Amino acid sequence: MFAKKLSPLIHSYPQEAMALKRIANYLEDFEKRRGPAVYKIRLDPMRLFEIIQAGTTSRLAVVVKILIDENIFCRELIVRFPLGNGMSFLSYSEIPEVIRDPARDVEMEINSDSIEASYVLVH
Amino acid sequence: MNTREAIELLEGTWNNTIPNKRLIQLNILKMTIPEELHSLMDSWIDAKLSGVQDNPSAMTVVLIHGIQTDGAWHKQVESQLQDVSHLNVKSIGYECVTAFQLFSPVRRGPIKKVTRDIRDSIFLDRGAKIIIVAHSFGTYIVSKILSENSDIEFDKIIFCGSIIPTDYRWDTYVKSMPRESIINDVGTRDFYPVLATFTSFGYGASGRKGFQSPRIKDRYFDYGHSDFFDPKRNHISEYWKPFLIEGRIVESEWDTSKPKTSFPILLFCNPWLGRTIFFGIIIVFIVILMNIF
Repeated sequence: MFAKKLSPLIHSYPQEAMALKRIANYLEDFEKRRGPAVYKIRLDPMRLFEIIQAGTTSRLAVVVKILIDENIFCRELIVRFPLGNGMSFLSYSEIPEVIRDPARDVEMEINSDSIEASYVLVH
Repeated sequence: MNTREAIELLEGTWNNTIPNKRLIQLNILKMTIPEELHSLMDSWIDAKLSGVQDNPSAMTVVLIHGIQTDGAWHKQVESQLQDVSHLNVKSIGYECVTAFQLFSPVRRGPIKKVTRDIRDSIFLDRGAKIIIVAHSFGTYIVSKILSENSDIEFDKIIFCGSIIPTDYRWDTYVKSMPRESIINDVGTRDFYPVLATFTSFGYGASGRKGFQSPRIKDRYFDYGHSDFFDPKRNHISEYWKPFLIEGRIVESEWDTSKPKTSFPILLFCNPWLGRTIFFGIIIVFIVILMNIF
């Protein structure tokens, strides 16, 4: 079960144990129902906020940091173009100020509205 | 730089930058932040860009244990509250305090440490209601924090096995807290608060006889000092959970059926009379010993 990967973290990060248990329960339940489809899970910050019942943005950030640093999830940032297609990046510092939209063959300035963050499980 | 300072910087930059320049500004800021905090920074930006908002019902329950323990009961509270939405539990501890330290005037270390941790929790969980659950020496620490830090406020407080003096100035230190937002669970078989009162200074028997103050709801149980955490009594889910979640106070049947407190106990609950008798006996005993030898 993938959720077992979180057990050591629950002990290593006692202050965030409740949030980590909640995500572990979610993954365990998903895997029981859908089996290997668990590896295709993609969660956005809003969904993760609800799953771990973070309550506050700061707590969500702290828990996501743990999940990423401990290789449970990896971040994927997609810069969405107006026609719906996108380009993915792994961190905010990789995203340039201006990017070429291949579909329209024009350069566009990137602003915060065009970036979508999501988390995928690390195999 | 720590987590708290990094988030403070991020929030400042986010709030003071026009939306389409935020990413550039945050990337510039990233260069000034230590690398180990970059991951936290990116996680925080994820949440902000996705429009995550603090939940108005978010709560952080801060648990503070007593002496000669590492707070094993914290895990029980955590498991009882696991299913409550947007509620998180923070377990605050400090180096082991012995009975000798408890009775000595050297008590500042744990108070400083817990104050620092509570400040950190309040900052990191801004927007969340902060609720304190403290036992024994933990109650004394909370009373000191409230009296020495007027900027620290809590939404609700639960005390059990309290050793706070019964004449504590609640009217001065928790003016902003509404009535019935502080509960003092009293064990009518608990001798430790009485012992702390007559053998030392600065403590009181509020865990044995209650505060009997209009700002505090005293609730009596046929318990000893740590019976609140006895799993068989189910105290956490029966009495604490409704208060934490809904603010509902479940009355204790023992409130009306408890026997009258005996006169000797009441005598020793009074710090001045209790100490006078206790130290008087010690002095007489020493004088007798000196005469014998």
